Amino acid sequence: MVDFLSEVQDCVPSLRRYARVLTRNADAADDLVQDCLERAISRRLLWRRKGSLRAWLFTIMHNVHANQVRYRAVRPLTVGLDDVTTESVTPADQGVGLTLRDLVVSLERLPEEQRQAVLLVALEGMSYAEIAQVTDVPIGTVMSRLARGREALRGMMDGETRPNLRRVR
Amino acid sequence: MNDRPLGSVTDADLHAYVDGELPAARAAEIERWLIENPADAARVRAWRTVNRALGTLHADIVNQPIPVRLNPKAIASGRRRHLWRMAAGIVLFMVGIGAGWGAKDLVGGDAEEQSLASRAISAHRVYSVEVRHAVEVAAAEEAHLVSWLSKRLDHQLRAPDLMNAGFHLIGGRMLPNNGKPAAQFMYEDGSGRRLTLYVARCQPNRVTAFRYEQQDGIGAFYWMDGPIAYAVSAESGRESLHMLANVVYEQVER
Repeated sequence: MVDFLSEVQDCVPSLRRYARVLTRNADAADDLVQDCLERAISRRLLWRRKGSLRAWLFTIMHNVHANQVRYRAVRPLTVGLDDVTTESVTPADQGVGLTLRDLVVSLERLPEEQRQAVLLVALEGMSYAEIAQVTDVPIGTVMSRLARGREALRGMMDGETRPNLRRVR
Repeated sequence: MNDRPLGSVTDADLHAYVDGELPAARAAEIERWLIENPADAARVRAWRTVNRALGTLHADIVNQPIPVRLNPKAIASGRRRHLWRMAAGIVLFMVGIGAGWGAKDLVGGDAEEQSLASRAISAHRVYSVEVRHAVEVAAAEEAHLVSWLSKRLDHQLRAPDLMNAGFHLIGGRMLPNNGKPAAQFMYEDGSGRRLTLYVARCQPNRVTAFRYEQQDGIGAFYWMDGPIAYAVSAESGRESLHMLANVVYEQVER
């Protein structure tokens, strides 16, 4: 029990950060993490040491978030765009700052499932197998979401507007 | 482009290479491929740049202290407390029905929380602008201040030490609270920004989570840990106020 809670605690910083990037709002992010932790702690008996605890927690957070997104789809977004664009960019030296801003804007244009795959790799360094567990899809689907999402980001950053050339096997 | 051996290297291979998902032997083949295919090499570089750049987003959060509401141990003990209170509430409710009175004083009362926040914010508004008479008893007499207010509230109080958060105590005062005494401790940071901690008695077994209220630019985080209620007010953003409220919480809850 104590071990479980300590292990969960070790994951909280990365959960917060991922939630922050995903929701683009500090309060919404911590609300999401809190919901996730409450759910995880109330269901800790369901946690069997199969796979990593981190992946299990991210799975719960992913599901909570998916529910919220679904709920929000029928209601107007409460977070204004102003909040999003001004605060999402980490201050950095000028050149990088611009790129990051572009990147954050591009990231928002991606379909939700591509954004998640791209972020789980970039922020968490998760393996494809872990991402498959978290998002509950086959590894092949993870790979194609990741490939499409990352290629789209690259294209948007290059200012590329034409559709990406796809290579035929 | 057409001289590429059919089926040799796909986009999926390239992504898997970037993400370290390939066995060493296959990764070595990809590396050789990239030397001969600069267009693919450029894409691989771009994907890596994307990964690295995304990896810097909000990286600071990882090193920030975890807010109390996200502390798994606090959540677990809060749940136990919550379950116990629910059980106690049900028992009281049934006793209440039996005895002909409701138990709503003990289980309800959002109005109590609302007025706590309003009184704390209003006291902050009135006194934090005072330069010479901001406090009734100055921090130089901290021990006296604390024992006096503790006696009037009939509860052992403490003035939290917020030096690590950049705020020092300048003193405190007693305030009226519906005919009973409440206490206000005032702090100031290096830039003269003021923060107040409002302390009042509440119903003995009310325990609430952190709540936030904002009125005309002054924000307050407040909570009840029966029999004492606390509110931390300042003219500051919600996030930094939350951090400060956490520091206060950790000290007043032993």
